[in-house]
Amino acid sequence: MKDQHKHIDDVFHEKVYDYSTPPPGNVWDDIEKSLAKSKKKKVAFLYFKIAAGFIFLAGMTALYTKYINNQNPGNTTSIIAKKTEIENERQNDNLVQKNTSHNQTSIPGNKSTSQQLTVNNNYSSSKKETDAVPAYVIGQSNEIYESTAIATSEKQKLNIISRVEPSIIYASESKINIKNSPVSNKPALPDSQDDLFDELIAQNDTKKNRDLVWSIGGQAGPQYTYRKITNTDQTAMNNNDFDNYDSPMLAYAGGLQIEVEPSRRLSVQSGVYYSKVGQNISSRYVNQPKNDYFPVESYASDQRAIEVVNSIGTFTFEKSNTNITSSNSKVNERISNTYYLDVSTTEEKADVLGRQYFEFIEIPLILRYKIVDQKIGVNIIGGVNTDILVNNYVGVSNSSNETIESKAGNLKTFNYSGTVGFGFEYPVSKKVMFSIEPFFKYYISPIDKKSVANAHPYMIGIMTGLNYSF
Amino acid sequence: MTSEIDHIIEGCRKKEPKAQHMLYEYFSSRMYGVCLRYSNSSADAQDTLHEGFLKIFEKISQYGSRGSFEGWIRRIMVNTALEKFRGKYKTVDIQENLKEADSVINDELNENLAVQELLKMIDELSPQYKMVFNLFAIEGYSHKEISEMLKITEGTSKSNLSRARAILQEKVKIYYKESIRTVTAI
Repeated sequence: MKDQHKHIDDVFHEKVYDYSTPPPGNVWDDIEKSLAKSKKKKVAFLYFKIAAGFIFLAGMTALYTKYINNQNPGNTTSIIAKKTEIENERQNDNLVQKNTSHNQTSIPGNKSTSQQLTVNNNYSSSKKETDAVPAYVIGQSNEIYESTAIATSEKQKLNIISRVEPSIIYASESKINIKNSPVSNKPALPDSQDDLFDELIAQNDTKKNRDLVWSIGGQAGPQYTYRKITNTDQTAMNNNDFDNYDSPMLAYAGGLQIEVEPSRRLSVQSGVYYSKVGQNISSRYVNQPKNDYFPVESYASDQRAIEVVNSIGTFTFEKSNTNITSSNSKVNERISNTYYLDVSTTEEKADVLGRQYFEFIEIPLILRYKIVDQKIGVNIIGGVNTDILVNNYVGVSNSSNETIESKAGNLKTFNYSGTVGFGFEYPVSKKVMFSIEPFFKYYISPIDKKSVANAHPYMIGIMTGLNYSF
Repeated sequence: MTSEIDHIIEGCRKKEPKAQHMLYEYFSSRMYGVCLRYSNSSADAQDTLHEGFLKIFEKISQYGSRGSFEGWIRRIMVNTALEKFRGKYKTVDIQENLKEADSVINDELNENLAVQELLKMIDELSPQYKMVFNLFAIEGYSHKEISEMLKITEGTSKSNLSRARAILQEKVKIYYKESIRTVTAI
């Protein structure tokens, strides 16, 4: 009888590969406990995200409310009333001088035939000097009418003036149009009060300079784009393979921006941008050893398309383009039913070049803080972006320079990224600012729904642009 | 059976505890067998099994549905064992100039070799030899892949494999006294 022999590797493989034995019962109990803990952590993180969202919304609401309060015409009523009050104090001062023998003063000619006019005669007619309050009514066109002017003491006048905020005075300056005033010339306030009034106006002029400044503009520039693989457990694929196959790609971005400056140093920017990001997915000879081929997740003769596992999304090639059969020497079985695909349509040796890119519409929310406030300003930049995927493309060239095209699947439409950078700006004219901004942008979560790699695209680029302020 | 597994996988994707338990029941014995081969003790193997299943439940949405699910689970277990190995041992890059021995075992002996004995022989190898032999001979990884997994050179992987084979041959020889024949290849 002839001896039959087997290699020692095969002996071990055949007997040991499928060896199974039940684990102790406590293993599942421990797994259950760990799963429960993980669930609690996820819930806690969800609450944290919700809380952060509320804080952000509250902050934005506060900023918005502050802005609205600065701009709201409704406040003009009280502003104008107060301003008129001051003017009236001046007028009353004259009246007091003229009517020293009377505690009550009526103002001649203060009634109008206009239907807009409403007069509060009842209120002031019986008042005495010490508690008198003048009443004013604003017409539909911000015209102001006074019904009564009552003299007050010098002390009261000073108090009234000092209570009025500079911004209030300024805001009312252009809107006041006093009709039927008995005294049209500038009142003769004492010098000290004139000085105080001028000072308040001067302060208000300073305030005017700090009012919200808006600007619009455009930016564009090149960006170096790639992705970071964050899956470290190397489950279905060895991540080193992806890093060996892929390489960075040069792309570009640009868009329109709108910016508001709540203060001289701080600005908030949004807008609409276009951004193209991607990667070169391969560059090699088709007939090199199998490890250099694309890994294919599965293959069956009745399938029409070949699914290729990729670092960003999964994409397919139609079978007619892939020259793949079970007997084709370009398809090699690895282990555990993983195959390698040569996407070239010919048997010739040639470079196979692949390219994958994504196009996004981006809505940024960027903060800029000016750290150098000179002619050439320097800003630090930080913010978040909502990135809406509008197109994705995969193309691989074969030896005949034909491009086989495909699309990656399982990508998220809405993505979020963070931006940090520096900005240098130079005033081209009084209203126009030129800027150069080197930046780094990183996608906060993987852009694919289901991937073995968990790829986060990132970009390093330089944006240049012009801004027009108004 | 395929549809039953698909059903369980779908349930696991939805994080259903019942489906997770069913998946564990379905694969735990085979995976524990894998873990035992890569571990120094049953406690280590249980830890690996525990961590491996947590990863499976966490990453199951990444499974593409087309390849072998058991293959995917197995890779997770092997990679988990590798991570533990890398955390515990520092791999050594030593290439010995060994003669490549092409070891064979005749069928009669092969039939008499019990699985438990083979597992014990593998377990008695040094950690790095055990890892290389398991990955190459049992799992079917290439030396290039092993070198990337263990962060060693391909030469070291080949050298470790040769040494592991030689030791295993010797153990088989001692165990059965004779009936092994070694053919030395040039």
